[in-house]
Amino acid sequence: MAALKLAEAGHHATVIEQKNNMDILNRACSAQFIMDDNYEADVLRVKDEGGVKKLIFTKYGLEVPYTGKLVPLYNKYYHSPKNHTIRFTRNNGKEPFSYKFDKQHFLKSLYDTCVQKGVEFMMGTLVMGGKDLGDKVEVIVKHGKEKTTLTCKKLLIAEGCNAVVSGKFGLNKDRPCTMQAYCLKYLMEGITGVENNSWNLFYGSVYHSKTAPIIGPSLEGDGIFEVTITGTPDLMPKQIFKDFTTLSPMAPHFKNAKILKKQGCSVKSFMPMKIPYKGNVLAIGDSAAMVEVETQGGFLCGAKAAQAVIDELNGKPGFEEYTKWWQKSFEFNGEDYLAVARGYMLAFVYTDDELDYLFALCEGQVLHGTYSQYITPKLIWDCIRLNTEKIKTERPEIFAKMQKMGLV
Amino acid sequence: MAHVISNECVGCGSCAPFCPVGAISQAQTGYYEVDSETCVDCGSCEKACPVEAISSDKK
Repeated sequence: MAALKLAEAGHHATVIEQKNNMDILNRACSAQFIMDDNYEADVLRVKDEGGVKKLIFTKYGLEVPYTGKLVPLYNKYYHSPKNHTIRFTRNNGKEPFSYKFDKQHFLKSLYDTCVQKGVEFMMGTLVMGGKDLGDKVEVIVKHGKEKTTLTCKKLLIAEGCNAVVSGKFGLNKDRPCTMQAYCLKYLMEGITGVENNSWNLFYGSVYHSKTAPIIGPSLEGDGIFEVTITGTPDLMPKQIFKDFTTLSPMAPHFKNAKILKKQGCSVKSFMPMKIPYKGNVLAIGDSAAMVEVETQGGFLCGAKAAQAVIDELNGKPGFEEYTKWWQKSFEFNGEDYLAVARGYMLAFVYTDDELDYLFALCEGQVLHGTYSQYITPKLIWDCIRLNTEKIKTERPEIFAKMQKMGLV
Repeated sequence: MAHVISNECVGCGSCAPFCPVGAISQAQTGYYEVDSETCVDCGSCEKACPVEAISSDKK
């Protein structure tokens, strides 16, 4: 997006891309457009006018055409070990809270647009290092066996959350890495008992995973789902998937299921960069984030970064202005984000029996359909805390945990 | 001895950026491969792979 906006403004942009081409995308991603107001810096709407789809960033005024598939998600369900279920939805299940989209198709179409506008692409190329020399930036790249040094006035790093190039340019100092995770996403048919167009998370040790396994829709039609498993170095996703599908309470639903395709990714979770630039180098999107800005956040970061570069080239403090926008636009940059996330944790804190008890308190309630990983736990705990006196009487050990977590 | 990528590879590309010598690249198949002449056998790629598809040639 940054390259496209720079090219549209008449500047020469070069994209250094690790993949050989944009025809195949095997990196796992939930690939959803999220409809929460002010989520990841804007209010996103999807418009379909006579078959022509557009993403409209209503605050920034950016419109991005999209010609791929869209699958609406109407319900999100959190399942406890004994399948007490918390439901999140909008307008009683009639309004999508997100849309699943075709990320490969989207990237390819953006790439084609960029090429038309004169953006230069160096495909199959890795960034090995570089140096900011003050009046220019040197970037050492490798294509095949050949190393070359490029120079540019400004460098934008948009490599994703693993932030390897960010580290090479000194932007990861004072930025602890909190976790290494591995994701596998399985496209599967033949799974039973899962509602189409829903997003399902499974909490509890009975599901054999520290992070809730997820079953959600695919782009391939009803009855074909994506199963996303997140593991860690001491418990890899392949093993979790095997146990989830053969030993957990979900096992009967996988009896006749078949894997159609597998994708993966590894994810380093760094603390976010408060100040995502140094000299002539600006890290944008997931490169500077705490895990993720989502695709829509990435678009905005790109568009904003392009403007920041243009301003810098005109002698204005573009990167400084970008930083102000960055700091106020993403929830993980908030001062209380970590404290809230820790306090509201379900996994690691409560036993399976306790999760069943807590989820049962919310069963039958309908919570607002939101994708936000910050707001969702707040909604759950607001619902649970309506029963604080009951919990104190019936389950004092849970109440004690809630006190310790700062919830009561 | 170099590291090798097995046919368990899903082509996600998570390994390539972690290689300090740029020995990993995407093949025309879409999956990734290690240039055995360039590989210094540090194992950084092995730790990055979500499907445990990378191992040392020794194993």
